[in-house]
Amino acid sequence: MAASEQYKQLLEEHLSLINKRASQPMNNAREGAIKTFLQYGIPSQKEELFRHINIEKLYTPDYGINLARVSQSATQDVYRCSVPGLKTQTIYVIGDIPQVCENQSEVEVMNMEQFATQYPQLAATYYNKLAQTSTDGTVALNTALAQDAVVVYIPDGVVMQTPLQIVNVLNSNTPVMMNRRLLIVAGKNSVATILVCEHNLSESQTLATQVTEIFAGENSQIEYYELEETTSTSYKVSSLFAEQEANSNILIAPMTLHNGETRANYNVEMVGQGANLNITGLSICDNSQVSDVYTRVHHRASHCESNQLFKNIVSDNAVVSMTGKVLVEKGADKTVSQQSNKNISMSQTAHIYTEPQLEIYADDVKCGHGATVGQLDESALFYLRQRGIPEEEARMMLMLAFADDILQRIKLEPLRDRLRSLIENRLRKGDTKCSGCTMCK
Amino acid sequence: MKDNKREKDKNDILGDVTNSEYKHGFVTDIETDIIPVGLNEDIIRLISQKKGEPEWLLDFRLRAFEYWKNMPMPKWAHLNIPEIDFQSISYYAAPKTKDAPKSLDEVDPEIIKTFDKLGIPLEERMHLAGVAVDAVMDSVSVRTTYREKLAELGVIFCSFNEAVKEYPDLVKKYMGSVVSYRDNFYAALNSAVFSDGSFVYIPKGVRCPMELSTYFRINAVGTGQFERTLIVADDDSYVSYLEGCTAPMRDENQLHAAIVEIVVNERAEVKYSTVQNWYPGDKEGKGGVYNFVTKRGICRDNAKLSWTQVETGSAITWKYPSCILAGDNSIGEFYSVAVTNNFQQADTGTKMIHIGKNTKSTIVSKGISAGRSQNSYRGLVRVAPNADGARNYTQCDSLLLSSECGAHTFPYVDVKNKTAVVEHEATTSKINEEQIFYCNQRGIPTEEAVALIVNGYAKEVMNKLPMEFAVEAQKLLQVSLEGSVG
Repeated sequence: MAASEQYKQLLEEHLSLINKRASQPMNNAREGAIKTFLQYGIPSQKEELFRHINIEKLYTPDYGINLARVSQSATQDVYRCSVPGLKTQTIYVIGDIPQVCENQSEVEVMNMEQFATQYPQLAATYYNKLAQTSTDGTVALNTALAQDAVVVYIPDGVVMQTPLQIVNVLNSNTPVMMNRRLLIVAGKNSVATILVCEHNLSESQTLATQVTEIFAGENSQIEYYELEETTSTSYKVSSLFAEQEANSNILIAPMTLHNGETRANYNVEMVGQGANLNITGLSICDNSQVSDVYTRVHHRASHCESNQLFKNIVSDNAVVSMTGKVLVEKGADKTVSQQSNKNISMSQTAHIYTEPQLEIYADDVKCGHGATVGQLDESALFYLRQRGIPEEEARMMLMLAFADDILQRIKLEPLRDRLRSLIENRLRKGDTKCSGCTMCK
Repeated sequence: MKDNKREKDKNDILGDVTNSEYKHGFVTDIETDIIPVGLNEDIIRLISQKKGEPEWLLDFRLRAFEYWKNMPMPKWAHLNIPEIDFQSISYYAAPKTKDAPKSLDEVDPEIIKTFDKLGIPLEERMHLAGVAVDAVMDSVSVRTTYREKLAELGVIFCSFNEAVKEYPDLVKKYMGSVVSYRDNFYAALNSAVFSDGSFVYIPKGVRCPMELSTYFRINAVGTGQFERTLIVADDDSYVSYLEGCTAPMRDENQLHAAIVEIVVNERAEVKYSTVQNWYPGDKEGKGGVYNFVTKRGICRDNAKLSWTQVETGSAITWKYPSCILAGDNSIGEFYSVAVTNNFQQADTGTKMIHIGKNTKSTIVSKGISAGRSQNSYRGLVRVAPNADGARNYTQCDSLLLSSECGAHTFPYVDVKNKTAVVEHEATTSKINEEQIFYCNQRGIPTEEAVALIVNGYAKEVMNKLPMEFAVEAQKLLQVSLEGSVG
């Protein structure tokens, strides 16, 4: 309760400042969001959907928020990301301020102000369209506080040639909270690949909230990758909303290699027939990392297919939780849905919670889910050791094989290779940072 | 053309399934002794007084009532529960009997007729079937059979009330030890107002020679039935217990909140089988029994507890037979077939709490939804930090027979031990068209094919029922899914 009070007060005192430094579409959404936030507040751990993470705790510290939009002095050179073979168009979000430069391709990447000027109609239609349906107080609070957004607009028929990389970075000596927004509008027959990297150079406690909205037009193809490589003092609460038109194809692939405590929600509305959705995630958690994932896939049209696979490797005192709900509406016949959550537990003190749920109101469907919690296969281990592979190495091979299942689903090859070596480093407890990235050195 | 016919056949069958009526709905005319409606301390004292209960039990009831008063009705289940006015229910109804019947002749012939209609072998047939029945007509135990025979072995099988009077030490020791009155809303309610039930005690090293069986039957208008069953299997013993229920047709909703507690001591084994066929309400969803049951057992070292249930009745079912695997090497099992039709709602499943080392649990749940019903599986598998080597396998399948119904799965897996191996698997689908086609091709009409498939689908669970009970279960499946089960 105390946490909600704190933000209520902040909104009361600084609303005019927030509005002054933000663009119109965002201000338009603010009033409704504040109302929703006041109604629902920051969710408490007693609520069914938030049982495995203490959201209130994440919001309680006295964070500084850059409401006055003071630009930070970091030069972008410091943050260069150079994954071998991965050529991307890169934009940086420093703190929560997008550093948008000239567009290098036909895909338009801009901040909200530019978007609202160029495409006022689109801005009014899409911004907050999905997020406002949420009854999650954290989403409403993000909408109430967010002042700028990264907007990616892929017009009808445009095929993105170079993947777009959005790098969220932060460098702060004091506890700060950032409220980031990302809006992706993909027109008919468009193709886009987007990679979002999350980095944190701060030593102090930080909270990043992120709301992402993806609109996939007919026949569009979107690949959306998230790589979280932050610190143990980084809290993150993110919510992704996606709406899929007919025959659209979305791949969502979040990877968490390093973090503090993260709550990630994925809400996908399949409104057009024949849409296809893949969500595939990997978390490697040790120390006292917390990774809490919630997915909600809503089949509203017939002939759609959704596929979810989440894998976790957990050790030390880490807590991982995966709650997935697949909802098949009446009339959404010929739905095919599969959900799977696999966990490897490496320590006695790690906690694993998994709740794959199905709610089905149609009859002509094929839905399934599976969840496993276990260890490495002893007989496979034995087999490897018989062949002279030391136990440690054998274990490593099996763990990599476990993670490889996820990597296989990543279509962006250079990224896949990079992730493979990152995961190996991570599992060997070696240098866990992205070695090609200048900022981490 | 043939396709059309097949489609039509199938629609007929699904129609039959949807239209089949509850067959066990008849009312027996017996004078009953009903106390005024409402729930307060005086009513509880009155119930206790009517039963001639000792002071400690009244205290237990009052404590439970005190606790219940401050509890909200739980809302988390995937059920649409109409507001229940707990003050408009009469909490006690006993068939008027002068004295406890000593032989079969003294039992009200009406009651015996009721059981006859249900096919319970209470007379000679019962002897042949080898079943001992403790029949509960509304709230007071009418007749207990074979008690003397069981007594020779030291097995106690009697009504709860008798147990309170004759074996107070045992009841005092075990009552509330598995399901405390603080456990949940309905458990607290039951603890406050429970009317009667069964008590079973199997002494050390005794293998109960027959299946023990109780038939519950709600029989008076506007009374809820609140049984309490307590089964204690001492070290190295074995018992198989059957519980079955049917209820007559009623227009108003009836409340049923039972508690079943099972204590399985070292190396003992208990098999608990249920066939539940309370009145499910009519085709418009009017009436029907609300069934809120708390069932739980605790297993000591090397003990085994197995729950098998066939759920076909009740307008609302809220039921999670659970195992606390407290002892090392203990085993918990849960096999369930839940059928919902018309406007029935079921939220059922199990909890397996692994506490001891090398504990194992198996969950097999089969849901069949038809009409406009909602059928949910809700299960929890929890592995405590010290439960080294815990193993669980869960499989829950749902079969959809109409486009208006819903099938849902809500499994919870909480693991706090690295040596645990937990597997969960669930599927939801409609009857496989290819299987029907395959049968058709071989000259099996669609009706029989559907029967075959549904039968095969439920077989895994039906096989777990004791022989004596399998017949009854088969009957109930027939009633619930008439036309599709052969």
